[in-house]
Amino acid sequence: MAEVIRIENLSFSYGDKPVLDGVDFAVEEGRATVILGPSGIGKSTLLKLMAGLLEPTTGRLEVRSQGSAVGTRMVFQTPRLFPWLSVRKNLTFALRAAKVPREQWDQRIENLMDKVGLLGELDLSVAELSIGMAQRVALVRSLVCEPSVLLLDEPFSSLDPKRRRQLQDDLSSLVSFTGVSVVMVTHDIEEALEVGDQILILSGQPARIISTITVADQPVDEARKLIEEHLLR
Amino acid sequence: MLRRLVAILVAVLVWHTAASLADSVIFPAPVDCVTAAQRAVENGSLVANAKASLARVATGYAIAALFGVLLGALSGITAVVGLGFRDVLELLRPIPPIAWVPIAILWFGLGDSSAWFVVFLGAFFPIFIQVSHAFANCPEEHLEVARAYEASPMATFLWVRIPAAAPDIAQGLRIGLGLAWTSVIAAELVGVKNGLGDRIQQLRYVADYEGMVVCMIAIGLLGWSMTAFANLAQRWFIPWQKSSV
Repeated sequence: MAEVIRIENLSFSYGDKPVLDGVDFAVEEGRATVILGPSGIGKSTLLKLMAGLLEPTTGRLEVRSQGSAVGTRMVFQTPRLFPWLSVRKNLTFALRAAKVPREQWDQRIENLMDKVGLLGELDLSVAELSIGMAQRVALVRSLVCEPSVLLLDEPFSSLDPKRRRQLQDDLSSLVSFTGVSVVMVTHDIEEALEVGDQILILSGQPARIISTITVADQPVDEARKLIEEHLLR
Repeated sequence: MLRRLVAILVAVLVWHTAASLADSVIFPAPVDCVTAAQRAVENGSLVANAKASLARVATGYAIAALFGVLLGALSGITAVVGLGFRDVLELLRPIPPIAWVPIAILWFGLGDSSAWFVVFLGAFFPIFIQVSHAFANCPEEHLEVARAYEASPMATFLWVRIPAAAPDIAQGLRIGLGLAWTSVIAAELVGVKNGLGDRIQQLRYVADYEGMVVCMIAIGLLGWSMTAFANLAQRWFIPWQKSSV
């Protein structure tokens, strides 16, 4: 299977403080990769490196678009929609930035908004959305550009259990509809098992990947036990 | 609304009682001021002078708004140069507009130009400082979204930086408008031949104290109306100000 992201011996420091060191992994096309680790370990930093928001201190990070016009698009912990734009204009902002031809905008928006059940809410202002609806719009905003890789930074963390379940369902529906590859970071083992085909455990200070667990290779209980052992180590 | 009406009635009552107790021509009672107001409206002096003051505010404020927003935006987005520029202007800002009146008369002579200059100075600094601060402190969470979505610098400026700064720009324009109005009265007290400030001086010479108070009330009402209009415009143009998801 083709790789969409390859990271080799990557390190990153905030000033004098090393955060990541010797990180190696690859993300395969069409798969969901979860980076699991405790809070503050550097998961979001790793995701921001993949999104191009930060530059690695050393090492190699390569994003391969695999036929997509854009490499990565990111969903943040909170929706981060622009409150001065309507729902539709938040989505067209992403399309305009990605230089998607204007004649494709309506169809792309309608297809994805229909999938998350928000087709009727396109002309609402952001203030009129619940937090769950706003996060689903943020998910659609990232996918309308048809990226090669969808980056998710603990996107369920600001939601209550009911909305979390709904967003997880919407995510899996959108992922199977678009075929996008996914990289998600989380500190929640259950969330990792729910979403991930492979789970990378990030640990240490500075942090690196200490283990890769392929969920499909074993029963979920075994995978959970394995993860817990690694995290307690 | 009812609360405001009751408060005004109570204030008028207090004023009436104080004027009765003072029993002096230099402390006119509300009833005498109503008569003076009727006279000023009938002979057209109140409207003519109010128009002259408003026209000066409109000119000076428009120039201040234009330069305040443009230079403020420029200083806000050009990091080091902008900070240096702001430092210099922060030194000039505490000088009250009335302190500029003598030098304005020397530079521009008696007349509208010196009044425009004083109004400009009164309004410019709050607008400039507020706009500069707004552009320099665009929330990182919005800029990060623009970068993550690979928006061009122009798209980021138009769709992110300007709307993110808009509430602060509006606040600067609102504060500037209030100060423009107080500045024009200060300028008119010494530098021009009409307007509400000049009218107060003229009435002082003829000992028309009721007329002076009427002009002062007119100044207060017009200033209040401007602020109310500015608040309404802010709510209309920036409805997202209180919302963020």
